[in-house]
Amino acid sequence: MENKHKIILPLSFISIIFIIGIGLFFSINYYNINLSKAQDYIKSENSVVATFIDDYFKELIHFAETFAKDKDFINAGFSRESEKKVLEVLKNYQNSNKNIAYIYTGYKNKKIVINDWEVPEGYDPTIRPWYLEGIKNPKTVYIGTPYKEYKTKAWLISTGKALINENNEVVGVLSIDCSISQFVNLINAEISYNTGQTFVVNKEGTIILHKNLENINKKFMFDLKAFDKQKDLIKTSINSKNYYVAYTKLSSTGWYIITTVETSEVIAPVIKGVISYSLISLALLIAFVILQSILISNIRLKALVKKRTKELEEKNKKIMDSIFYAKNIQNSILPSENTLKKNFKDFFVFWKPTNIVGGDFYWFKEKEDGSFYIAVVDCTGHGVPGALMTMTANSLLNRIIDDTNIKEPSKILSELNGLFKKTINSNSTDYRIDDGLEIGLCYISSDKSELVYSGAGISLYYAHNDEVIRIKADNKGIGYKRSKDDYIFKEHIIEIKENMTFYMSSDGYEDQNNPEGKRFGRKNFINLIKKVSGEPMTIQKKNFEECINKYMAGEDQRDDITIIGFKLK
Amino acid sequence: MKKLYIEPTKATPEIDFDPEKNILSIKGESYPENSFDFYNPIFEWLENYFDNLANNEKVIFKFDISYLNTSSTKSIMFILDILEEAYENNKNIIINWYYDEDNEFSYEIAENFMEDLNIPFNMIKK
Repeated sequence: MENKHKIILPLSFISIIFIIGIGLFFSINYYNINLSKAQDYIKSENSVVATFIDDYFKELIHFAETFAKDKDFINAGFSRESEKKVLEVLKNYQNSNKNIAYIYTGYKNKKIVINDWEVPEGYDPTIRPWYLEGIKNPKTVYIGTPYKEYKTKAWLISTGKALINENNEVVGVLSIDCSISQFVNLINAEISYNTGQTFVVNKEGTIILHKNLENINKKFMFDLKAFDKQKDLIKTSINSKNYYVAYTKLSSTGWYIITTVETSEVIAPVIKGVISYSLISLALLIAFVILQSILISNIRLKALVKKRTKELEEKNKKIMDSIFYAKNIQNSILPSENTLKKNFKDFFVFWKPTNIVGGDFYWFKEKEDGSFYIAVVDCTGHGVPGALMTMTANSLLNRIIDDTNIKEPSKILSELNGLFKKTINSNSTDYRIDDGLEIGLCYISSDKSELVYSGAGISLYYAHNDEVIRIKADNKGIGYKRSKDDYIFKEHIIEIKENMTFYMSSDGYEDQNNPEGKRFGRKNFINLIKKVSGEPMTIQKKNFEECINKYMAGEDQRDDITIIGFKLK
Repeated sequence: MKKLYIEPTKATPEIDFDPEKNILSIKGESYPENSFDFYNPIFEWLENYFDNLANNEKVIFKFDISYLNTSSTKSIMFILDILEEAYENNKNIIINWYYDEDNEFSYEIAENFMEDLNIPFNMIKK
């Protein structure tokens, strides 16, 4: 137990460390997982936009490349027929692509082929930026920077390709003007961070698409060299603010799709999560510690209870052993079975102290002439105090017979009364302490012809010819302060007949209660004698025992029980 | 003078001493392991009560007892002694003793008590 004790503290300490460790591990893990989740989210948002824009412009580029090779497109500035065909194609394509504001071809002869647009007077396509941009690198499709359309003020972006004839001559430019408003709406539609935004920067670092239109065509104040991969997410500072920056380089246009979110906004919910997680862990830890301490104190308590119980058991054993030893002593004053067998034709003793020893005893004394005394004595109290009294009462009775010539039961009772008062009650100064005894005393003549009975509180019953007679004891106690010294006890002489059975009982049997609290009572007692008196004494004893046990039905024994039954002829 | 009330238990009777109404009652069974422990405060209360009682006040003492062990019998006797003494000192006391016909104990013990008393002692069948 003590060792268990010592192990508990380090164990709980280890447990606490373990829990803190697990808590930390999970917190860090939670932080990392959720941070990378957030980063993945930013990346995927960026990726979605990039894919959309890339696909869109790939298609435009593809269209531009395809039709720039088309004969009709090359010739449309110079042939009515081709012009017609081209206008038809352009119209169809424009209808299929909502973002296209204008789609047209311009030629070196200043001709412009376009649907639904009134060509202003003196309009010269060859000096327009889109034309010049187109012929700069005639082999490749160009994508320009956004511009505000003259009339509608709408932001447009041009994709174009030079038209080259079979002689490798640049004869014109195909241009597709797209409204960027759609893209601007798209690029910031979905991101769930307040500080999050997606914008598009071209190779030169010019902002092409941005939710704030005033930023368009401005320089993105950041060195694009940091974007050294096809796509990635980096943590960097822009204008002295920290951002997570996801970027994708478009293969089609060489643009960068950039998504930025302030790091603080990304980390805050993660940190919050970690904090609440930690709080939960802490709460669990505290609960654990409390449980541990309860456990420890329980173990301590258990140990203490065990110790105390053991102490109690030991003490109890000591007391019980002592009482059991006292029982041996008390038993030693009781007449032996052999003595009784020798003097009675048949007899039984039902002696049942309340607590191992008791205040009841029965007494037997034989005189030299073969006559003898039998008595049932009930001293005040029961248990150990009662037993102490029985020793005294027994000594006094023996003394009277051995040391005096008193023979008659009534005189013996008177003498006992006097002696008892002198012995027990004379020294007690407390006038309320007053002990004494009740006794039923029979003297049986040597020829067993008569029985002389005197009683102080214990009556004599005898059964003969199916009749039970009660000889009432004197209503006087012996040895009590109020028992008068000069009181003379009555004497009853009974002629002993064959098969007469005699009974004396202390009050314990009649006073015993059942679960309803009702006394067994004299009536029941007399009826019981009537019922069993014809049986052998051992059977009678069994009957007395069983009857009272049945009556008690588990109730505690209230007082010491002593019944003796005997037959003389 | 305060009322004395003691709840009954399995082994001790109900004590209900009401100095306002001058009705004192002991009801139940009495077989405690140590009866002097139980009855001591009762003795003291009674002695104090009679010391402070006017002679013209009528006191009714009710006993309704179905069983006493030997030492409780002694304690009840002592209570009766206190009552007897107060009666001799011109206090107006009546004892009502309730008994149950089926329980000879409650009758016989009263007969036993009555022998030494001069107080008016009524046996009342329940």
